[in-house]
Amino acid sequence: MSKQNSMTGKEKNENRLPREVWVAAISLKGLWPIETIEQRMKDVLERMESVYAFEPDIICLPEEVNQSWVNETKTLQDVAEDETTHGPITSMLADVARKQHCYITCPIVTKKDGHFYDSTILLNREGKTDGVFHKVHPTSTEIIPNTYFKGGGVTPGPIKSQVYKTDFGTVGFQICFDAEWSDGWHSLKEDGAEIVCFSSQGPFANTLRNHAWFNHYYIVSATGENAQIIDITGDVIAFDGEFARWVCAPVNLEKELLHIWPHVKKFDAIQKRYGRKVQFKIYHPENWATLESRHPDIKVKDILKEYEIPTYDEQIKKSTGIQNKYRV
Amino acid sequence: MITMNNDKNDSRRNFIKQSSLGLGAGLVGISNPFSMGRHKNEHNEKLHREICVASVDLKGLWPEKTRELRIKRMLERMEEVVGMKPDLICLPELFDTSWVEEERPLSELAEDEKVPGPVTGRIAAFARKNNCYVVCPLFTKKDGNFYNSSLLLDRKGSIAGVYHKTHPTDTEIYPGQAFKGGGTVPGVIDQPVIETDFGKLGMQICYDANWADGWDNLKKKGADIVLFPSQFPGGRILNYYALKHSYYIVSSTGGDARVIDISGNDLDITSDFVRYAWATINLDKVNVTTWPTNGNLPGLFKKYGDRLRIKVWGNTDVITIESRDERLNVLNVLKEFEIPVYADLLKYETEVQDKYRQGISKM
Repeated sequence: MSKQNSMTGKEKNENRLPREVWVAAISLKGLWPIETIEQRMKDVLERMESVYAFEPDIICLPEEVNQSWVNETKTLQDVAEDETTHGPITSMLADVARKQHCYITCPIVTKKDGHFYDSTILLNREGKTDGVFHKVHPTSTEIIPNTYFKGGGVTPGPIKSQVYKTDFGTVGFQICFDAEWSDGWHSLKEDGAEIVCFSSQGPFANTLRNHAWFNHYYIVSATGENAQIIDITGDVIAFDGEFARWVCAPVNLEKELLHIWPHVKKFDAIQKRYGRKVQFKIYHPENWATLESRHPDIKVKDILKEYEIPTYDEQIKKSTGIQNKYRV
Repeated sequence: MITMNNDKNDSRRNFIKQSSLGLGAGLVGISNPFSMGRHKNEHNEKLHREICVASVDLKGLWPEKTRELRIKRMLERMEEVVGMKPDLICLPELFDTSWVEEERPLSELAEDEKVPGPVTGRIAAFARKNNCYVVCPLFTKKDGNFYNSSLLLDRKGSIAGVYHKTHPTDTEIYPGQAFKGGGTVPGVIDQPVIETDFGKLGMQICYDANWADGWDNLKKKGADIVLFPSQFPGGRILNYYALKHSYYIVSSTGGDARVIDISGNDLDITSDFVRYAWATINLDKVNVTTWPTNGNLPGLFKKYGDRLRIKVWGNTDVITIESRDERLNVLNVLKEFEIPVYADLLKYETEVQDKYRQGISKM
């Protein structure tokens, strides 16, 4: 991973941990309603400038960034962009991705094989499309033609959506109403997502925190109301506000969620041995702990193996096996 | 697994049946199966599906020297909530033996699941005296097996049902590890809810919080309230399940006791100075989605005013609507305004999605 990070142009930041990822999200709050798509994109690009100083690895934008609450209405045929060739909005954001040398999520309506989708396009550091996610659970009004959208409706994407390998880790996507269902989130967990980018009109603030702890991944959320970065425990790492409608912060992918019992007895020994090179955080009410490496040479999995401590998921799996064996 | 021996002909039911509640229901054509069993008297002017729930925690009572001292202190703590005239009191997991230094084998501790034993009998006497249900978590024995259980004692002190912890820890299962003289057997996942005179109760215990299956099962079976006796508090896990399944959760643990609303928010929690939590909760209350229900709120307020209590929970992304009028059934109001309850909206939306998703997959 350290080698991969050298590709990211982060050499200038020597204190960076190998699996430290700087994530950013932009809120649409205060930018709507607005008259035209052109004005919207101008505002969004201006807001994005606030996070460039942090050299983010990825910037997440809100759902249908170009047309949510834009008064100028165009047909889906007019606004939908191709998924393989960059259209006007994708090109605009791809240009930013190249210049800032970061990934950008580009949530717009796309067209493919005669169908429209409420999508998120993942643009890589070179401005190329690395993947496209189709909203799994659009609202019925978005689906049924000419109810929400002019000139058509969007088709729901498959529940089993893909995760994407980036140079900093594995990312997945969900969009807006998807927050109300568990299936897509679970699918991303099973496929190894470490960060889920959530683009939305509505905030779903607490719902996202639940998805984060339930699946033990980070969530970066960019919505019409707010922007936030959520820890694998559901804790909020960063939240926007009236003085800054964006968030940008580091998340450490070298971190594991543990059930504390009975392993908490070993925590002192680990801390004594590794000192500040590792960090435990105990969540007393939930009986959880997180163990995080704060040193380039130390891997959490190595410590867990050495001290025979299972991850949370490993412990639950083992316990389930024993329970099933003894259940009458 | 559950034994249900509620007396269907108890005097309270008959009294209420013949009194004003029955008349009230008749006036508006609402048949409410729970209104007949309502616990209502001159001290208690609650709505027809409103009940008082209370819970006491173990904080400050452990470690304890003997089981007898533990039971005595727990009964003292329970006395602190009787002034609220609770319909239900929840006690912590293995309340008589958790962190008690005096160790006895399971064969001596475990009690019968149908006839109250020595410890259950004392809690049953409390239930009878205070005319309330009590969740009494202790070891039980059945067919030669030991269980980490919760007994539900009814207002007469009879055992109304039992729940067996579905997901004990490894050390609780393996004989002679956590418990002297044996281990406990995991309960089956598909355990029924227990009918009471105010609604349906389900239970989960401690480590169960780490699995979704039991919580999901209780939702399917229509639980109004889930009791959670535990050693560990549960934290955000409980708030999540309350919101996800739109049921109340009453927890009683080694660290705190809480009453959690269907919106996922804490209604009450114990503190350093008070080791009980309580709340009056209304079971005629539903969760609806913030969107598109937000569009209906002005109309609801205009027509029903304070006869409904509507709360928009920005922090948990949900709106709760409850009736504050005996003559107003909240589901009828939702029907009138064509507002689906949370689960129904998602069901409808899923059907539309599947229909159009299926269309694409056939191409």
